[in-house]
Amino acid sequence: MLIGACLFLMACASDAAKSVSLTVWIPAHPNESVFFQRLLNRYQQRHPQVHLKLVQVPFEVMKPRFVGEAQPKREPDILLMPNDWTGELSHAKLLQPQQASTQDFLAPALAAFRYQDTLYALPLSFQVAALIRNQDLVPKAPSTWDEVKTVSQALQRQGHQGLMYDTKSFYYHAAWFHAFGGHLTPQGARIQISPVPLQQSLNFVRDLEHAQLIAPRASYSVMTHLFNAGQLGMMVSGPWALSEARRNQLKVAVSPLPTLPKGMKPRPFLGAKGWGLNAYSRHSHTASELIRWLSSLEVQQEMLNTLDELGSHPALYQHKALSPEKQGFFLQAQTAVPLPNHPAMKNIWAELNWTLSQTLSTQRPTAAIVTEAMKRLQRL
Amino acid sequence: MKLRFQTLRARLLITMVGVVILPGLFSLLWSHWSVQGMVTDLLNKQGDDAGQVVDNIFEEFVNDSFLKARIITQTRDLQTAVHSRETIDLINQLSALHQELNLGLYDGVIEVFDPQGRLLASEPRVAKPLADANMVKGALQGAILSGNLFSDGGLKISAVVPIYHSASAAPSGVVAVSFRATHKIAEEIQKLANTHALIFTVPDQGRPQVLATTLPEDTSASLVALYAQGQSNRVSNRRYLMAVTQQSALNGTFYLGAAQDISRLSANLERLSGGLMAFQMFAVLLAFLVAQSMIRNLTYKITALVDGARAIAADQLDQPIVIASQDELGHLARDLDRMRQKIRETLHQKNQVLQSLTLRNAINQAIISHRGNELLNQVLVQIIEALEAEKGSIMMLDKLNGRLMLKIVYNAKEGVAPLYVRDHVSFALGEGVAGRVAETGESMICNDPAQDRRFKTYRFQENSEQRIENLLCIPLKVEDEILGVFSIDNKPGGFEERHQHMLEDIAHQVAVAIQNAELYELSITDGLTGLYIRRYFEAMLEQEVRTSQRLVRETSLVLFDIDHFKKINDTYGHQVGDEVIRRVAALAKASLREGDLAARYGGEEFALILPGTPLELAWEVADRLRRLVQQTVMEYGGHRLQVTISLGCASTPRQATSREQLIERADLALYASKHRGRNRSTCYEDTLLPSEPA
Repeated sequence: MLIGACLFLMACASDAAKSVSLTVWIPAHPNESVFFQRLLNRYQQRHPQVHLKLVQVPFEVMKPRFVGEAQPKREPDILLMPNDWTGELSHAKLLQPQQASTQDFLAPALAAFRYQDTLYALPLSFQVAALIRNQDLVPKAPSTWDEVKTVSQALQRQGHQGLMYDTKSFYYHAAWFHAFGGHLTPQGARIQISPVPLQQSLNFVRDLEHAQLIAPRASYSVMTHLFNAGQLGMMVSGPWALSEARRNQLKVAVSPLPTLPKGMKPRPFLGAKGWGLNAYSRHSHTASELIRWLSSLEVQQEMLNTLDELGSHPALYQHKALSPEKQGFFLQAQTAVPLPNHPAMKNIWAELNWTLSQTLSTQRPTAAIVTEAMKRLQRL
Repeated sequence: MKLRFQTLRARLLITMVGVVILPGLFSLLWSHWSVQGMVTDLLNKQGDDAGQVVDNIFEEFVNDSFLKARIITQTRDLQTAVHSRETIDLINQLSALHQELNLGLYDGVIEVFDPQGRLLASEPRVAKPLADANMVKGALQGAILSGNLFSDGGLKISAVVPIYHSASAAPSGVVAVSFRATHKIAEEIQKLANTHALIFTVPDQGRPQVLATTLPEDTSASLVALYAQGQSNRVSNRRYLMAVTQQSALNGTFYLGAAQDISRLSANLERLSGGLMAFQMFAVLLAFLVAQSMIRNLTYKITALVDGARAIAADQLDQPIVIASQDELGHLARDLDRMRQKIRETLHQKNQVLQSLTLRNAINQAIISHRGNELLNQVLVQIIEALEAEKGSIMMLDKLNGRLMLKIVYNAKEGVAPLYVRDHVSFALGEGVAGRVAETGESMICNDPAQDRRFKTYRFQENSEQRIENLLCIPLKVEDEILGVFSIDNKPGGFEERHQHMLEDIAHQVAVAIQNAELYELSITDGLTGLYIRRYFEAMLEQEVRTSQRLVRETSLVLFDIDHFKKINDTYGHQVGDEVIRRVAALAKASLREGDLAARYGGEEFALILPGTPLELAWEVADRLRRLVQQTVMEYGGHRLQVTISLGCASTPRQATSREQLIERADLALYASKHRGRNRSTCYEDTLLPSEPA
């Protein structure tokens, strides 16, 4: 054992002393690529023996390329991945487990990358949907659906729309589903869904539709179109929507989603982006060091100031200078539910969206919709 | 090695360089340039093709946007939504169409305008309309328009089509599909064309501007700057080759560039060219080496022949001419070498003859000039030097005791005869090599005395300096009579039979000379006394008188006779008288110095010639002889006799100027001794002359 330990230490020492080249993959994005290239340049200046290569890969092909190349090419060493890939990539044994202190990361962000009790990536940022409002139309954030109703009716009277969100997407509906106590529970190779909370949440949105608080035909495109055109007072969306609103000179504010009747707190999904380490990396020790730095408070603070990203370090949100919009998302994150990273998730999105479509486009009883949905899910 | 251009090798080398190397090098350069030219043409063609492909793809995007704009206007739900102004439906329709028609491929934007030209909706949403207001206006009048336009600092490509509804004949709105020349479109072109794409402008004033590119910013800028400088439809910055096509917009001109990474191809070209050059260099080098080897092989033989011929011309005949080949030059070399050997043999024989003749001539000169031991000494020296031997000796057969007695020894190193050897060395007949030669009369060669039992080693010969390494022993014989033997010792390399044959001739010649000398000696000496006879005496005296006069050297003559000899004859008989004469003659001969001559002048009269001897000294010699004779007791036949002699001395040129006058004056002095009482010596004086009659 002693000899093994010595050999390990020697390997680590030699790995650290020699010149090492690492490849980092990030999703192609003009602003983010400039930001991350600047970060890597700084790291190389601090660690001259480490040569870093930043590669932008289109998001839609990133996962299949990593699955195909990680083992034979032993590249990339590091990739910036969404948390919902975690289960699939860990099943393929392509990710190296990592260690992290719970003090350095928000608990739901860390949990988003934990699969079967093992952490597979260090979270960099998180996304969560909250209530975004046009302050010129809605000066005060409604905290309940009753208040939403009041505000919406007032806006409609002015020829504007009240609140919109992509009602046909379970990603947004999940906030109500979770509020009613629903869970997406991994069970073997499947995901178990609580049918009662699902039905209750479907009833809830049907009620919203009947109350004309939401537009059943509204898509994400309609929502952003009207909001950015100044015709919509409120929308449910994430931090990614802020930049376009700013480009349209809108004065926006972010607040937690309005509570449901009986005081139930909406619990939207919390998705995260984090640094995964290729299990076949030639320089896993050096890559691990780099990941640790890329997830550090220093980097997250800079990212918070540069990009429309929400860092995963709790200390970021203790700062008084934090923008109200990001503070609003942080508040929403307190009740968020980590986006499931089970491999089976990719199969159930369509079925869950179907339930929403059925609920908002037909008059079928929600119980029947749920029953059929359960059968459809069983067939997957 | 200095290479002279007159040599065959240099000329062959120059010819080879002219025939093989230079064409090879020209071929090498030509192929290098040809490959480069071909690759450059290939690259240019490929670049042009890529430029055309990029141009076509861009055109396809333009056509695609136009076609899709027309498709959108034909969508009934959209027509309804536009006509009803139902915003949510309109946006949802646009969103669905955008997705279905894959307009995101080039960041296309669908815009819907109302009959007043106001933007109703777009997908994705834009804050400011992309389509040109004039084109929208034209479309509202029923026109279908498509075009490129510079605005807001960029290039937009728009297709504007009127949309109708069945409820109205006039357009209910306008649908525009537009996209900007952004990096996205460049990336899509790159995916399809597999080449980097650039969209750029080159304004008349100001710097060229890259609107869209898939290349790094600085690379694009450098390529575009190159194009702006030269306005050629192909530019290259070494790594990239960019082909450019010109495009027209409604309000300006822009350019499409297709940039191909030629660095790898250039590197391959460099490798190919380098490999080709290396191969050809190797081929040229190989040709050079082969040609050099052939030239060396040829010139080596010719040089060997020339060197051999030159050596023969310079009388250097010991170096063989060897060319180990079966070709014509090899045969020529062997013939030339046989000629060399024949010439060397002939010259050798000639030299031997010449050596023999030279030696014979020297021997003849010695025979003519010398007699006795001096003759033997000269002969021995000449032979030793001619044979290049170390030393030698001559032993003469003593007829009294029948042994070989060492007479002459000569050592080429020392040059002097070791007298002690001469005193001690003698051989009986049959003893040792010399004794055997003297006994058999046959010459012998002994090249290994240590192993030859015939050889007799004297103790003094045991040291290294006197050791005999080899010897050649030749008898001195005339017909069957052995006079002695030559022994020539220590010739480097030993003796051969030819040495023996040469020396046998010379030995025979010398033996004859010795025998002739002995016979001559007998003819000029008196049989009783062994002294010279009167005739020889007078001849020699005549010669000495002339010599003395020429050299102004005093020579004396002593005449003497035995006192009262007639009385002895009468008393004891003629035999006793002869014995007395012989004994006195022997005393006279013994008293002479080297160069003096004694002769029997008459019955009991004798004469002594003393060359170079003043008169006074001659008197002393004469008187010493007188006293010796007087003191000598002669026993013969039981008789004891004592005799005296009377002597007269005269000298020339002091007292006489001719032979006759000298004899006369000496005779007068002898007469005076007789007259004065005998047994005395008298020098001539003028007073002894008889007085002349008055």
